[in-house]
Amino acid sequence: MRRTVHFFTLTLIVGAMTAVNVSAESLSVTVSSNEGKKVSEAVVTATPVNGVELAKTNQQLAIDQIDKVFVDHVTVVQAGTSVSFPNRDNIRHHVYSFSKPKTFEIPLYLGTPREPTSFDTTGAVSLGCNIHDWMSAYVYVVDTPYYSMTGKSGIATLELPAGEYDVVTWHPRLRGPAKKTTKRINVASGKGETADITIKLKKVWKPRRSPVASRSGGGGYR
Amino acid sequence: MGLALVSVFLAVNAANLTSAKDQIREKLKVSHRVFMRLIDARSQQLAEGAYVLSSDFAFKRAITTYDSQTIISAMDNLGGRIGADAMALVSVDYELLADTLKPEVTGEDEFIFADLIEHAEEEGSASSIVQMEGRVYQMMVVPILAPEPIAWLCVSFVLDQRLGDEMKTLTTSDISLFRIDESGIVQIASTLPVELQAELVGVIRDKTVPIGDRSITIPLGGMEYVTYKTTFFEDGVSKVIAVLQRSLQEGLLPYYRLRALLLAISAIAMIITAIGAVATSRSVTKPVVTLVEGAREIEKGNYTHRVLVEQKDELGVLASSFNHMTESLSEKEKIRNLLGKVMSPAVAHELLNKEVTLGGEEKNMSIFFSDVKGFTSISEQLSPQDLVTLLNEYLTEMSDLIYDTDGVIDKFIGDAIVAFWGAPLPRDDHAEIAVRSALRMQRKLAEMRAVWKEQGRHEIYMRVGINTGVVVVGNMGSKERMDYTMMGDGVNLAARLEGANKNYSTELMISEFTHEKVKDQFILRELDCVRVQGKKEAIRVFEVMGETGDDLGIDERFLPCFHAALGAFRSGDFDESKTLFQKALSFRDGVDGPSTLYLNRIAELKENPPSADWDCVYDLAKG
Repeated sequence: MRRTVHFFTLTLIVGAMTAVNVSAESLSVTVSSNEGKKVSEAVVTATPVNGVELAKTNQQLAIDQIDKVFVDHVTVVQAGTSVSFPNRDNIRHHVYSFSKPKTFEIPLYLGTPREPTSFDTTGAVSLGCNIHDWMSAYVYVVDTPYYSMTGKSGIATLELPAGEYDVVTWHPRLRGPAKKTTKRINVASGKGETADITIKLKKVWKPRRSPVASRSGGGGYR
Repeated sequence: MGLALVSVFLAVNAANLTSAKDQIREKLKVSHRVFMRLIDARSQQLAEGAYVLSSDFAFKRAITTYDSQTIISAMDNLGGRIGADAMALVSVDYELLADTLKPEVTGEDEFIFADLIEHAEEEGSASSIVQMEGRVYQMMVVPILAPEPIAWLCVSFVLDQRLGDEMKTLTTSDISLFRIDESGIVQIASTLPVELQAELVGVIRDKTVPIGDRSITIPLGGMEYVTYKTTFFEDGVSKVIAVLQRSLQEGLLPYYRLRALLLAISAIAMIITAIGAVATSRSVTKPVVTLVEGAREIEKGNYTHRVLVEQKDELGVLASSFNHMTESLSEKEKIRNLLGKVMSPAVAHELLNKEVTLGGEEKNMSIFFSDVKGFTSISEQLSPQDLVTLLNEYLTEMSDLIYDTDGVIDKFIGDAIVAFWGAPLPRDDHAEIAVRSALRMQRKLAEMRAVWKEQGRHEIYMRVGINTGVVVVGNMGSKERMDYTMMGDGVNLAARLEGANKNYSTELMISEFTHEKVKDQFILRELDCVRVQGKKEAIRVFEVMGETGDDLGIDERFLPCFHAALGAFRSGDFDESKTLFQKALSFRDGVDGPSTLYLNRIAELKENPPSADWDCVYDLAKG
């Protein structure tokens, strides 16, 4: 359901672009790990080489907490986007981030906090819940309107005008800074473009959901 | 007994020593296991402590201040909770954000143990032994999760003497920890006495000493240490070893105590054995020696000897029996002596050693009869007292000579002696012995006569008759009163021969039966051919003149001349015979009884010539 909302959002953005600009081209990026596997949840962004003026966004997004899990796991936002954290569970959550782009904390609360959280600095923001170690989500803040996320096929499709772009790929498990994945791609008019990007993934050791909190998973750290 | 004790002691001693050494090795192995378990447990404990610290939310907040002094302060606070000795915070980009050992660091220095972070990225956490600021630490690296790693927390615990002491308390083994890298060996901790520590480092440095997973014994400070080495940390660069040791001497203390006890027990056992041996010698050996001495005394014939054993055991009983035996022997000896006095010692011996039964047996013996010439006239001239003295003197000497040649005195009949040789103990040369004894007796008597003559006393002459033949000898009489004596014609003949001496004026006459046995040993003269009264057979009789080879002091022509005369006489040539007898008589200065006798016979025969059936046999007059 959230996915539908998400696409709706993208459609809105693309629609806005289309409305403003000329005909849109398609950039299809296939993201693989260095082990050769297709990578899902990889965020692909394209920034025009000659720069782009970004209108100040006043997007409103929500990341829910449902059954002690963040939904969605990865959310891409344009800088300046406000995100609210509605708590759909009947217990309190304590959402926090110690990531440099956005350090914040919403101490134990029920329902939807009155003030949404604004993400103004680009970069990856790792979210957690202070009382549920396994709860994890990412907000990836970008400063371009052209971005997309891979699905299970590992393909992300961006709709953008023809031109030259720096294509950057990010993933929660990306080894090293996202900047290093930068690939300059020229998207020709009327033809569209495809690209293959390989990224290095690292193991991320996360706390597992405790057995009491989840009837399906194991407990303890790992 | 002593040898057995020594063997037992040595065997037990060896077994104990081996067992004690095995026990020390076993204890050392246990120490090793305990040590490894402790290290593991400690790592686990450190890891858990580090995890707990890393999930402290307030600390996460402190981290996000990115103010190194704040972070150091927070880390000091956290470390205090679990007793960590050093803490460091490293960014996910391997930058050293803060270090309690280096408070001046403000971030963005490369963390020197980057490989540890890499390892933690792979495995979730990492542990290592590291050297910092000259000290050796056990370092745990855990992530700060928010919820993904935002930094790495390095929690370090110093490995030092305190750890060694703690280990020693738990394992009771000495423990020395060393860190070895290319720069050399650093001693981290050691519970050994200070003076031995340097020595141990030397031993470890000495590659020829094979300290390894097997325990070996190495000398340290003059003591033996059972040593076990284990490497409990090793990366490419360095390794940390633990050397576990137990003093052999201290480990053997219980063994030494046991050995001392064993020695004491052995010594006591030896003493008891010795005392036992002395007691045995007193109670057994000594009385046995006494008994042997007693037996020797009895062997010598000392029946008055008594053994003195006052014990009440078997040996005492034996000694008592021994004394009783000696007494009975003594009594028997008294009887024997008495018997010997009243009868021949040989017979007395026979009587004492055989069951005395009535009855006789036929035996070939030589029978001796003697009496004193003219005893009746002598007895008339002497007082009874002097007569007894003289007779006893004479009989004693004669008896002794008979006994000396194993003769048996059958009886004394007044001045007469009846004796025999060849019984009760049979001997082949009884005839020779009898004749020789008789000769000795005559010689002895001649000596005695010389003495008597000097003393002016009566001189005694003895006549002896000896016959050899089979007679019956044995115990004769009644059951209550019996004599060991002899019977038979042979006995009578001997008596007759003794008496016949009168006719020929001879002193020692033997029968042809005796002559047959002794003709080679003695100088003999045939006297006559006689017929005993009541007997048909004639018997030749001989005079014993001396032993073969004796110088008789007689002209050597005498005997051949006499025998020639006798031959002529028997052939009836009386003239020739007379001439020869006269000649023989002349060889003896006219004193020769037989020659004189024959000359008388010839004279008589010339008066009354014999009948045609003259056999020249003369009847032997009785008595």
